Amino acid sequence: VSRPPAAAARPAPTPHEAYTAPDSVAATNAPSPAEESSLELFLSLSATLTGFSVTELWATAMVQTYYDLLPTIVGDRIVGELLSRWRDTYIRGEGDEPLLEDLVTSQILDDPDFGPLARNLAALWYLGMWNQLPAEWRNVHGAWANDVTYVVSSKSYVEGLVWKAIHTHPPAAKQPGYGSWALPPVTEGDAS
Amino acid sequence: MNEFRQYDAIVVGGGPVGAHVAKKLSEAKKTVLLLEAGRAGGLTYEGYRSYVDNYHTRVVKDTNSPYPYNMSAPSPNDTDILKIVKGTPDIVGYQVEVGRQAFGSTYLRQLGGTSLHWLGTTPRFVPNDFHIQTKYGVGVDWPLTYGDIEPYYCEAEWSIGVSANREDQEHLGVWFQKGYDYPMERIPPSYGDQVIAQKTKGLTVNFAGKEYPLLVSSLAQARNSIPRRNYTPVGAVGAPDIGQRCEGNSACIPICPVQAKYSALKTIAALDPNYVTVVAQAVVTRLTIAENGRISGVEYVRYETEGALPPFQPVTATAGLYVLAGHAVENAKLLLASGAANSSDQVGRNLMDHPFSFSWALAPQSMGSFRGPLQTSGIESLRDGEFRKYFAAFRTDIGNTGWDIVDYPPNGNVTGLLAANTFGRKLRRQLAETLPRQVRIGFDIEQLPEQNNRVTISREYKDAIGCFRPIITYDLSPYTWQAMVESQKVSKTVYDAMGIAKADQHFWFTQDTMPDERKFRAADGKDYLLEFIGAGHHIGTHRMGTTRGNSVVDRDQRSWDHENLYVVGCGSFPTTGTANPTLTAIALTLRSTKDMLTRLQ
Repeated sequence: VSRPPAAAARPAPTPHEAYTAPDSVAATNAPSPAEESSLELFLSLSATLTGFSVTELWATAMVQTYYDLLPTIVGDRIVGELLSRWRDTYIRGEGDEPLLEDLVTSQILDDPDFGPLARNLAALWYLGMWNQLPAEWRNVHGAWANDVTYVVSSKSYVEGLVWKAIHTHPPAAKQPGYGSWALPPVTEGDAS
Repeated sequence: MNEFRQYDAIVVGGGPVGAHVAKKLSEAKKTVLLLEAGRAGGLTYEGYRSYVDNYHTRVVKDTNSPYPYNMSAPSPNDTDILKIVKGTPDIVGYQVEVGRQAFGSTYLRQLGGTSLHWLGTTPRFVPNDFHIQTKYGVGVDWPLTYGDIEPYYCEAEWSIGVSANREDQEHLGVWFQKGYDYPMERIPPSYGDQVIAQKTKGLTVNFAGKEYPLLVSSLAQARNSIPRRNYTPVGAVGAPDIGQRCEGNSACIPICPVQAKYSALKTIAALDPNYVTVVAQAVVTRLTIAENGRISGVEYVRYETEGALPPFQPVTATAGLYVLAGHAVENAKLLLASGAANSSDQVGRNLMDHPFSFSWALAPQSMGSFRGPLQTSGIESLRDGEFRKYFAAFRTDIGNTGWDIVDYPPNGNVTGLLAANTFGRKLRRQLAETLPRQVRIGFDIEQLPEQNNRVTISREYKDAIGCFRPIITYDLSPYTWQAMVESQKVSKTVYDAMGIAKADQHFWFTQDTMPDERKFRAADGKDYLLEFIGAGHHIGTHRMGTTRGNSVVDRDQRSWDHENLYVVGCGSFPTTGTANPTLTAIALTLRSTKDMLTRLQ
């Protein structure tokens, strides 16, 4: 395995890079961050935490917003460290799903610095909102001014993955149409 | 300063009841000044849509969350309601709560009123609701009967646009005039409703020694469906092609994005401007009373922008008739502040609601939860019976949005699983396997009129512009508590029939989350911890009755004390029945407009 560049060292992608990213990432549609940019690490970590593929994440049109958001809330340094930790974790567990799952738990979720951030990132994707980090985290890393519980935008709420996960739509958006509620629901067997 | 123009009538309050008064009087070519304390937002389609976007971005999506907070005409909010500590009033919100129970209901002061955030459920009262004293020896009788109000139910249902099938509503003596049907077909029952209806078919519960059927039936609802005969559904204000049908936005409370649900904005937008003048941001502070006992004017202050500080230049407006349609609590507040209409000492008293208790369960299969209007069916068959001699009747609603009011899914489900290090595909699967199985049943329970459940005012508690804040004293009687205990029989019967394991049936919260005030020793000698919330059905603060001694208004909702004053809406109800009250308030007031027009001849 070749050593990837340090995630934090790479600047955020220009709008052009962000625009061209979907095709290249969607083509593989699997986390393979060994050689990846910071954005790609962000995407593969997001996919691993949420259980939605990178393609599905791009389909929300929220990738750039969320990628840009984290540093504005907790700063560049710890976000870069989280992505580096994820890259190292992935390299150790690549190709062995149960191992990778254990490593995500032990190296990221159980880590007092990265765990709360990773949980918040998953919640951001699922709910479109940022939850204020736990008191213990804020005592160590500082109480950042933007670290408040809020819904990022109307769009982020509407694109929350939780509604897709439970086979419905967000209340007050994406309405499924007259009488749709009388039909039998999608069950896990129907879902792809 | 005086209003230049003399009006035939002044209506205080731009909600569904006030809007209908303005409609009827103006149709008879009477001039009307409609005064609204809140903002007139929502009359443009784009303005209304901004509330939808606001709802999306609110962390706490409570009943008033889409609508901008207005400190110049504040409203009570769900988030203000705290546990009441004995002896210390809860003064956090607009409403001052004295206890013993918190009055957990909200309303909205904005043009359109609380119909902006209401659910839109529109059952009629059952005939016995109008005389429970004669029939069951409890509460009081109304000064009119179901027959007196029936034609106005029909008119109200066509005016606001109710979707229902007549045969679904003909229960417990509810009858319809010959040839009548609702303007639109019933809203299709949800998949979950269909499962529950099928599994509970033929089941009964035993109340006070008698068996009563559990009949799941479609709810009458003021939201657009397929029209009958020559009816044209009324779409969004300013964009009439939108909202021609309910589209399943699952957000009726607090906002229907397409306006398929009725709100008073629809009635107000259709008023003839040649006859009706709407003035918003106009907070009425006082009625003035002439020596002959007639109301001689209303004083109001008009704030330019929310948060503007006093002093304000008060304005006096005059008319032949005065109609208070400002909401049960606001009407009482205004009468008390004016020293008006209170020779009976009943103003503000007999405050009631439908205390709403609930149970929740996890079905063995998907119920398709989190789809459709918030409610499409209910169990209506327990709204009347001999048991009302001993405990309250109730409407049973079957929710379509899982454990909505229990723990506000899905946020806690997502963060809870993540906290337990469940992530990735497991997280996605667990959410998919549990949330659509959530069922929640709720009970709108009748409450009897009691003198000490009341709205008062005090110089101690005023709002930002110097108007009185309502002070609420509120408790429940054993008649209502016992019904809450009995309602658990309904939940158990339904959940057992659905094959739900006992461990997945939930009836109350843990003891440490419950205030002591909610402990009740039931007829069986056992202690129950009972949780309830408000239904948003403020009833009874200016009750109608048969004499000036026992009531604030007569059967036409006219003040006994001031011949040119009407006090209208849910506050006039002598008792609560079990029906969501807005339809009845509109019907009752349509009837009253006949009397108003007689006096304006």
